[in-house]
Amino acid sequence: MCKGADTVISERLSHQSRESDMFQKTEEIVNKYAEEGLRTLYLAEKILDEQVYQQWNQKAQQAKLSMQNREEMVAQVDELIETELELIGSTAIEDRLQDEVADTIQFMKAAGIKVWVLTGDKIETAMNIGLSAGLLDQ
Amino acid sequence: MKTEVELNLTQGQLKRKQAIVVAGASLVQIDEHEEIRECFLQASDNVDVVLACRVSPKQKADIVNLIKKRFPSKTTLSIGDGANDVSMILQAHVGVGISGKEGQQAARSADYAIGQFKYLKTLLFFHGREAYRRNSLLIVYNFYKNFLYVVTQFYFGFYSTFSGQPLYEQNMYQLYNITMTSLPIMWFAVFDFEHERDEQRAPQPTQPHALYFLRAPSLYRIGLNNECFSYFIFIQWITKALAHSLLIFFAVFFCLCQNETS
Repeated sequence: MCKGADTVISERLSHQSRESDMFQKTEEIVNKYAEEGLRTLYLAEKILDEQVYQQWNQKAQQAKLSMQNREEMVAQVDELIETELELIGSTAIEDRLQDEVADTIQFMKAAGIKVWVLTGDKIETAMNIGLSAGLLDQ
Repeated sequence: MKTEVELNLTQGQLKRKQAIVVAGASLVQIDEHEEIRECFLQASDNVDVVLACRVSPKQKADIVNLIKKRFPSKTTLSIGDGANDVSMILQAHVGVGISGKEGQQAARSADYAIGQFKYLKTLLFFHGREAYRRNSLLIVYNFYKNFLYVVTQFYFGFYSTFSGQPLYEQNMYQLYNITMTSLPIMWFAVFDFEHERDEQRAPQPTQPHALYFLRAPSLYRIGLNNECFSYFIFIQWITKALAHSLLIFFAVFFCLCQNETS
């Protein structure tokens, strides 16, 4: 089983899973949640044979032990197994801003500090949070 | 290629207040082409807020790097609470980590760890601003005191045929740096505040138009414009040291001279 951002998981889904009604419905729901400012994740799974796993595990162990470019190697091996996934659902978590965030940001802007927000969230979620943090007004 | 890079300019209420919203995928494109990168950075310089979504931890660090390279005179600060923010916190000039629900990684790798986002205000506008002002003063003061100290010795050379005879008594010479560097500056660093932090901390009764660090954002300007530590300030202090050294040396020297002859 694995979780991740919608774009990342979508790329790794099996053809069959991507065509299904469930995928479309999930997409719809997740977009709706994102607009409300919730943080969304996709969940997907894949059933592995013992043999396939053993083969992959060997490669993974090698990658983890490699002396050079370890992160890159591990990511490569992970790519091998994270394919043809089946979508099983999604999550949406409310992550409320802490106290006085908007006030602090307003003050920083007034003082002449440039603000860059860097987030891994979807654009809808980010815009929503930007609004509640007083970064964007519209 | 250029059309693929889409910058959505969302118009705010005031015309001057615009924001750029950019997605991670576009950022990759922006980074690849120098023209577009330059164009993007110029645009970002003209707006108050840039919102980048769908960026990976590595991209966060890359963005900080990009700004550092393009605007070398600017200071960058990264603040974050998650493990995803660690690389950008490390990359920025000042890294601030919020320790909390998302774990300790961000706080552990940061220069400053705070408990909540709102404490950033106190950190920047009170401690940061005052530390900047006092540190600047400490540096120029150090130049001032050593200049004063050595130049008088140099003047004395003219009257001692540069024989190397010390002007000062040995113990005084040694103690000068200890007493003049550590004691006044320690007092200064602990007790000197240009303004009060906020109304609650102000001594009673408060003046009607008093400025408070956490109320008046304009007080932060000195740091942004580097007003406390510029060539002008430095030369001012050196000139002061020169004037004071002349005054001290000749006042003392001629007073003593006359005493001797009479």
